[in-house]
Amino acid sequence: MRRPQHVLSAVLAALAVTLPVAGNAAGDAAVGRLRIASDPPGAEVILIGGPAGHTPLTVSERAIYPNDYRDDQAALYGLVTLRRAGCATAVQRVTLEHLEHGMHVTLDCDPRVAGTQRTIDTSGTSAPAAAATPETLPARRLRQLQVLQELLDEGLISAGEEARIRRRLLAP
Amino acid sequence: MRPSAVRHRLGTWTLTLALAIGANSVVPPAEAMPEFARRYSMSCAACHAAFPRLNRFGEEFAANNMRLPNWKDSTAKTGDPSLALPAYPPFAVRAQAYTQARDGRSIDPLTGSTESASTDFQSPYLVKLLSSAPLSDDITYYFYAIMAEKGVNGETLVEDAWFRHANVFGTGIGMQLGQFQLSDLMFPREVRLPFQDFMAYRMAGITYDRGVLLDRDLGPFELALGLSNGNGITDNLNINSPGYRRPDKMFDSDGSKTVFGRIGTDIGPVAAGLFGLDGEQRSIAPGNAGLTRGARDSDKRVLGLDLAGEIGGKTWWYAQYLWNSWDGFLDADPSQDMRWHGGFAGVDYVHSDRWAFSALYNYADANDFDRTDTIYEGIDMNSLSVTASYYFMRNVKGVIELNYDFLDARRKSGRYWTGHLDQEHYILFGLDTAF
Repeated sequence: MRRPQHVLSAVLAALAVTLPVAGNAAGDAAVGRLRIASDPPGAEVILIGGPAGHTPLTVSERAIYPNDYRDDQAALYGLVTLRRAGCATAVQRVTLEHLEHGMHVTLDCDPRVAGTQRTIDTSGTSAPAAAATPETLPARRLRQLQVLQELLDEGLISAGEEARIRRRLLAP
Repeated sequence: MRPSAVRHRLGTWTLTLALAIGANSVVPPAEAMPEFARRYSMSCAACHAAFPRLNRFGEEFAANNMRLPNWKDSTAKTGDPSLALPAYPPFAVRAQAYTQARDGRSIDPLTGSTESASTDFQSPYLVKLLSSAPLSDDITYYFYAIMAEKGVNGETLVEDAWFRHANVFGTGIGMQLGQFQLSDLMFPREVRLPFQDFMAYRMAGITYDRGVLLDRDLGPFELALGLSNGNGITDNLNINSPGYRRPDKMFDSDGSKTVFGRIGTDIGPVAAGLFGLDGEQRSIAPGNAGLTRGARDSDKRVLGLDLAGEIGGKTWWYAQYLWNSWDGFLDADPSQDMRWHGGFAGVDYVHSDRWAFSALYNYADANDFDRTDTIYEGIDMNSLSVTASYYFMRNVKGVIELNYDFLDARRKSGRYWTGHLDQEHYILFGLDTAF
């Protein structure tokens, strides 16, 4: 007769082998992904790691919450920034509800400009003209300061952090 | 404790205290706490690389008094600006269940009588109830109670239980008051990935204690300095010297306090720290395998070096060395200072959202305790644990761990059954979850 501990060891080994199978049966639902859509579509999606593509887009949770990041990226942790020519830049903090149902952002656009943008490819598979629009340095600074103010207003950064980043942005 | 000893200890640490005045960055211990995910509507992935291991944001969250700047959004709308009640009771649960096959036995050191079960269903291994919330702009509380720790039913044990003020009198000094692990200044045990413990901390007796901890950042340095009772968290003594027993209780069993601290800094990609502790502990009476407390207080000193680093957001490594001097610890020879050392080193590799792999090496050498015929001969360890964690969900993982003991089993050398009498090989399978 086999000794009980041998039987248990065999069970443990079997469980070790079946563990990944059981996990796969659970499907990828356990691994967080975020679907990002915008109206109008084709907005550039910027995450903490930089541009991630254009809406509609699905990104992994880890792209939103990387395990490590540079100090100057900290203010963008957990945020999705949508940018499209002719529209106001939108910044959204990712919530559990977004992860469950997806994030859909209605951009605040100038109808004349937005209308022209709607003619571009909206499949999300190719870069829209918006991404190619050059941005002047003052315009870029202004946008960065607007994002900074929104982060402060939403309580996602402290006043001290806001002041520190603002000084850095405005440094000659 | 002798008044001169108190003065000596406080004098020894005056410089460190002076340095500590003015800073704030020690990371409070915070294990997997799904309540934070609920409160801030964030994924577990925001704070954990692989639960319970914290990522950079998780460590910064903990260092920020375990809150986000918008914490008031999750409080009850009372209309009273002086009241910040959590909108709901902020509780979370952590539960573990294991099955194990191992070589270890339960041996009575006095009689040698042995209980043996080489296979074991350890379920529930642990059920914890955790709670934490900001209470004001600067004060946060955290506690957890363990029900059925390691299968011991019929008792509830409170381990971490503290308040922390992040900015005492506007000085930038953080102050934590309560019950916590002294070793949390280095590597918090609760956020490790392996099942196997950081054994050097347990052997050195620098885990749970009651006390106060001050901390502050000073330029590139993190400074922390604390005082604790130095007798663990189980003593609870009646006060009856004024006559009839008083309702209050005494937690410290002697007049001494333990002083401890750490200074840490980053050296390139490596986080390094020096830990020091100076206190007293009760001596051990002769005979009885060292199980009986003596009548004297004896000096205890610990020095530690900790190193850690992270590579590419997927791999974390850490190493700890501890040097211990327990002076005059054994009443059988109070003139002898018992010195021993130990430590551990480990690496965690988070392969994907599904898999994480860990290795943990534990080492301890009883040194001066060899051949003392006391249980302290058992401060003897040389083992490697290899762990695979599979995440069914962000907060539910299956664990498989193999532990290999490099030490040979030794024969009983004295009157008592002490020392490394058995090897500690084991294989373990189980579930670990927090919700």
